[in-house]
Amino acid sequence: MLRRAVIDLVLVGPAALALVVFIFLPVAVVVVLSFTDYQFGATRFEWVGLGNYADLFGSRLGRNALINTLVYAAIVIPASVGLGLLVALGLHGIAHTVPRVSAVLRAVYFLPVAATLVAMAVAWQMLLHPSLGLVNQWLAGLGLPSRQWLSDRGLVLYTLAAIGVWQSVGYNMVLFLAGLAAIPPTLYDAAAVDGAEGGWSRFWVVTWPMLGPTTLFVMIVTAANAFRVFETVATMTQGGPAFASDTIVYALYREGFVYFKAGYASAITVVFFAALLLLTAIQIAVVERRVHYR
Amino acid sequence: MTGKPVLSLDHATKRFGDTVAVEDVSLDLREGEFVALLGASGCGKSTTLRLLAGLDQVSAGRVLLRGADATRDTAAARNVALMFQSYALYPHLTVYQNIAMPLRLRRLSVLERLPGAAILRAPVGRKLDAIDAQVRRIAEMLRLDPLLARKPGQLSGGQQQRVALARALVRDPSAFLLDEPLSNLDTQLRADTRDEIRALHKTTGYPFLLVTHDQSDALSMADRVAVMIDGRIVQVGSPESVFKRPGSRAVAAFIGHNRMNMIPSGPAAAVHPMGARFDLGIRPEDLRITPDGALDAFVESAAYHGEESILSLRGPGDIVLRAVLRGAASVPDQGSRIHLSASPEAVHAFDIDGQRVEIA
Amino acid sequence: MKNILLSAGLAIAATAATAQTEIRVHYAIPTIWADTQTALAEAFMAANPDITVVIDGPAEGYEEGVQRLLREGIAGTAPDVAYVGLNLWRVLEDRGVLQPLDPFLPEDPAAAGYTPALLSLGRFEDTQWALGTSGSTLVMYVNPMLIEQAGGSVEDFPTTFDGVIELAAAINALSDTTEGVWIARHDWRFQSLLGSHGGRPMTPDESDIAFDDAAGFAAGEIYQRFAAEAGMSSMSENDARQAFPAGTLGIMFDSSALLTRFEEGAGDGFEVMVRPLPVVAEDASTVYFPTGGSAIVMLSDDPEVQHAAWEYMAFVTGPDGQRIIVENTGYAPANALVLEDEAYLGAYYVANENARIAHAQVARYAGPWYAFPGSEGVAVTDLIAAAMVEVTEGADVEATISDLADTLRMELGMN
Repeated sequence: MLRRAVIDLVLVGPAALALVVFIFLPVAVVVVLSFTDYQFGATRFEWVGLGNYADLFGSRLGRNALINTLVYAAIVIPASVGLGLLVALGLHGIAHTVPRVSAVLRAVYFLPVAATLVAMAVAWQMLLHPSLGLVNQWLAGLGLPSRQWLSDRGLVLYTLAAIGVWQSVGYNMVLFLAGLAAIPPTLYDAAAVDGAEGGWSRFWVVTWPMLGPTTLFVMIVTAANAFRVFETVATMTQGGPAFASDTIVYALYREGFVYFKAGYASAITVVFFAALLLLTAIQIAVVERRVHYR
Repeated sequence: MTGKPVLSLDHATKRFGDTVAVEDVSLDLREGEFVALLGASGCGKSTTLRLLAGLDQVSAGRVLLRGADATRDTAAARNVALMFQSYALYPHLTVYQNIAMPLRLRRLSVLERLPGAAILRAPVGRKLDAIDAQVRRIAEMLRLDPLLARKPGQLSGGQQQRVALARALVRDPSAFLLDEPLSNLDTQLRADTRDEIRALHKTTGYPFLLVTHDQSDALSMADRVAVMIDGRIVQVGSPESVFKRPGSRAVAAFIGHNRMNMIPSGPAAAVHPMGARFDLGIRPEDLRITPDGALDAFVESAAYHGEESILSLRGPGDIVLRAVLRGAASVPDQGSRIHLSASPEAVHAFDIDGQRVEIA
Repeated sequence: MKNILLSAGLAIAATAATAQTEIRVHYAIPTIWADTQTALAEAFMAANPDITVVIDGPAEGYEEGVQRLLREGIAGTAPDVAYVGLNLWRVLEDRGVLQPLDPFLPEDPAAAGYTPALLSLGRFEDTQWALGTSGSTLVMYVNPMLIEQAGGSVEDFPTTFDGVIELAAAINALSDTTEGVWIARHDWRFQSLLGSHGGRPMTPDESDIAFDDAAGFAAGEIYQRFAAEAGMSSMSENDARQAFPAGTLGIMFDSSALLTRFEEGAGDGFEVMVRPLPVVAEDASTVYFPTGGSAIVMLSDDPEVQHAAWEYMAFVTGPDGQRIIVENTGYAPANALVLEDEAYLGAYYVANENARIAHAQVARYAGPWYAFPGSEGVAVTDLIAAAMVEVTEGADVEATISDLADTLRMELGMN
C-alpha cells in the first residue's frame, strides 16, 4: 500500500508541482496584491483591504471600463455568432453546388482569424483614416458625411466592436460548419416527411436545435474573447479618446504597466479572472446538463 | 391484387450525374397491401423509396398518388409516412414531442408553434388538445406511454424503433414506407418486430412498402415481393412464386438461403433431359444422394451446422456444387464419390439470356 | 562621511585604473537607438581603453524599460547605467534605484555645456538624478503648399496663436479633404502651451497644482479655438501623423523628434518646414517648453563601477557623444557646447535648417517635463488628456480646467 502511494506521488508529483508553481502560486500572489497599494518596484506596501475593488466599481474610470467592456460584448457576441451562423449556412448550402467558390470564401472569411492582429490593426487604421482612409472616401463618394471612426468619443467603441465582429466571424463560421456537417442528413428527410416545407421550417425543426451545443460553445468562446478585448484597443486607440474605448483588460494594462499601480491592477485581474471562471462554470454546467441530448 | 393503386411509380428513372440508380421502374402500391422491395445493398431500392416519398425527384417518368400525377409534389404534400433505417428521431425532443412533430408541422403555423401561443389564442389550445389526444392514442397502441418524457438517447434500439413507428403513423398517411426496419435489431427482437409490423399492417390497413435486403423478412411479411437488381425491378409476385418460380437466373441466384447450384447445359442433361439445351438450376436443399443418381460428384468437404450439413462438391467438368442434407441423413466421408439426383419440379431451366424456361 | 567614501572610491579607482572595468548599459527603443548606441560605445571605448561597455538587450519602449529596471533593481541585477525617458526617471528615483550625480558633476557645469535649463531636466529637490542625452520640444510643422494656397506665406509665417488660427481656418476652408491645424489632446502638449504662456503645472515645491490660472485657461482656450475656429478634427495621433506627410494637413504641432520621419514621409510631395512655437508671455524668462527625449541615469552603487559609469555618462552628454547622437537620430542635443561651437555640428545645421530651428528652441527654452508626484502621477496625465478632449468638444474652458485641477489635487493627495 505504502509503496503504491509513493509511486503515485512520484508519478503525479512533477505535474502537480508545476501546477502549483506556475498557476496557483501566481494567482495567490495576485489575489494578495489586490488587497494592497503595492507599486511596481516599491520596497514596501500598505494593506488597503477592499479599497482597490471599491475603486474599480466605484470610480468613474473603473465603471467606465466595465461598462465599455459590457457594451462591446453586447454587440460582438450576438453579431459575430449570428453572422458566423449565417455565413456558415450559406457556405454549407453552396458547398455541393459550387465547392470551389465555397472553399475560397471559407478561406477569405477565416483570414482575419489567422492573420496577425497587429498587422490587421494597422490595415484598419489606414482604412479608417478620417481623410486618407478608403472608408471615408467611399462614404464621400456616396454623398455621405465622413466620420472620425477611431477618434470620435461617441463612435469609437462601436468601430472597435465592428472590428471585433469582423475578427471572430471566421472562427465562428468554421465551428458552425463543423456543427452543420455533423447533422445527420436523414433528420432533414424526416422533417420533410413530417411536413417541414421550406428552409425556414427545416431550420427551426432540425438545424437550430441540432446546432445547440455548437451555438453554446461558440457563444462562450466569443464571450470570453469579447471580454478579453485588448489588442485592437492597444494598437488603435490606446483606450482613447478620453477613455471612450477603455476596456477592462486595457485598463488592467494601463494601471499595471503604464501607471505602475500593481495592487490596483491585481484587483482588476482578480475580477476579470472571476468573470472568466464564472463563464467557464456556466459553460460546463449548461453544456453538460441541457444540450448534450443524452 | 384487387385494391386500387395508392402510390405508383410509372417508368421512373433516377440518375445521379452519369450513374443510373433506378432505371425505368414501374411499381404499384395498392390499398391495404403489403409489398416488399427486395434487393442487395446498392441496388437502388432505397432510392426507389425516396422517389416514392418525394425526398428525391425522378429524372424521367412519373409518380402517381391515387392515379393523379404527384411527380412535383413535396414529401409533405404526398402525405407518405416513412420510417428510416436509422429511425431519424429528433434527439433534442422527448418521445412525446417526436411523435407530435408531424401533427404540429401540419396543423400549426410557424407562430402558433411558439411556446405560449396556446395561452394567447384559444383556437391554438384546441388544436393542441386534439394533437395531444392523437399522440396519446398512438403511444398507447405502441406501448410507449411510460416513455413519453424520455429523450431518444435514453431508449433502447427496440424502443426507438417503436417511437419511429409511432411518429410515422400518428397522422393518417396515404402509405407507409419502411426502410430496412429490422436491420438494426438482434435476432430475437427481429422476430417479435416482424410480427408487430404485420399486426400493425392489419390494424391500420394502410398500404405498406417494406424495403429490405433480407429475403426472409420480405418473404415472411409481404403479400407481394418486388425483386430489384441493378436499378431495375426484375420480378414481382407473391413470395411463393418468387421463391418457387424465379423469373431469371439472377433472381434464382439471389433468392434462397443457400445459393442455387447452376449446372451448365450439357452436363445438366444428367439431371433432366432439358439440361441438354438449357442451363439448370437446383437449390442445394433439393439435391438428394441416391445410389442411382445420374450426377456424379466428389465430396471436397462437409460442414456440420446442427440441423443440416452442407457438402461442398465437385461435379463433372469441375462444376462446383453444394448440397444441404437435412436432419439425420448420414454425411458421406470427405473424398468419397457420391451420386446425386433431383425431382423434376425442383429443377429450374434458364435460356442463354438467363430467362426462365418452363419445364412442362 | 560622504567625502571619505568618495576619496576611498577614487583611490580604488586609481589603483584599478590599469585593470579593465566593465559597465552594463541599458537602453530602449532599438528601432531608433540601436545603431547610435553601438557608435557611442565604440567611440567611448576607443577613448577609454580601460573601460568595457556591455550593452544589454534593449527594451521595446521606455515604459517597458522602466519596468525591467525596477524588476532588476529588486533582484539586484540592475545595469550600471541606463537611458530612460525624460518623463520617467522620476519613477525610478521614487523607488530609490538611482544614484545622485552631484558628486561627479564638474565644479562649473555651464563651462562643460550643462546649462541650468538643461540640468533642470534631471533635477529634483536640488539633487541631480539624471542628465539629458537628447531633447525634443513641441514645434510647428508646416506644409508650405497649403499655406500658399490659403494665401499665407512661409517667410511671413504668423508668430502668434491668433495668426496661426486665422491661417489654419483659411487652409481648412480650401476643400473637404484639407485640414488647417492639429495638436494632440495630451498632457505634454498642454504643458507646452502652458509654458508658452509662462504657466507651470505645479508650484515649485510640487505641493499644489498651479495650472488653474490665467496661463492654464489661455492654454485650454487655444485647444478650444483650434477646434471651434480652425475646424480642428478629433483624429488620433496616428491618423494625424499620416495626414501631415500625406499633404492634407497644413500646420501640425508635434515633437521636434519627428522631423526626420516627417521629412522622409513627405518625400517629394512637399518640403516640410519647421517653425518655433509661438511665445505668448511678455516676460520670455518665464517661458519654458517641457522637454521630451532621453536621459541617462546611474544605478550602480559600486564606487569603482560608478567612476567608470560617470566617465561614460560624461562622454555621451559631452560634445563628442552629443554629436554622434544628433547626427544619427536628428534629436536635439542636450549640451550647449555642441550648439555654440560650430566645430561640432556647424556643417550639419547648414544642411538641416529645420533641425537648427528645432534644436535652437530646445537649447533656449528646455524645461522639465513635469511628472506628477506619487502613485497616481502617471495616471493623472491621462486625465489631463481627457480634459483636453472635452475642451475641444466645446466644454467650458475655465470650468473644465478648474475641475481638472481639483481632480488632480484629490488624486495626488494634495489639499
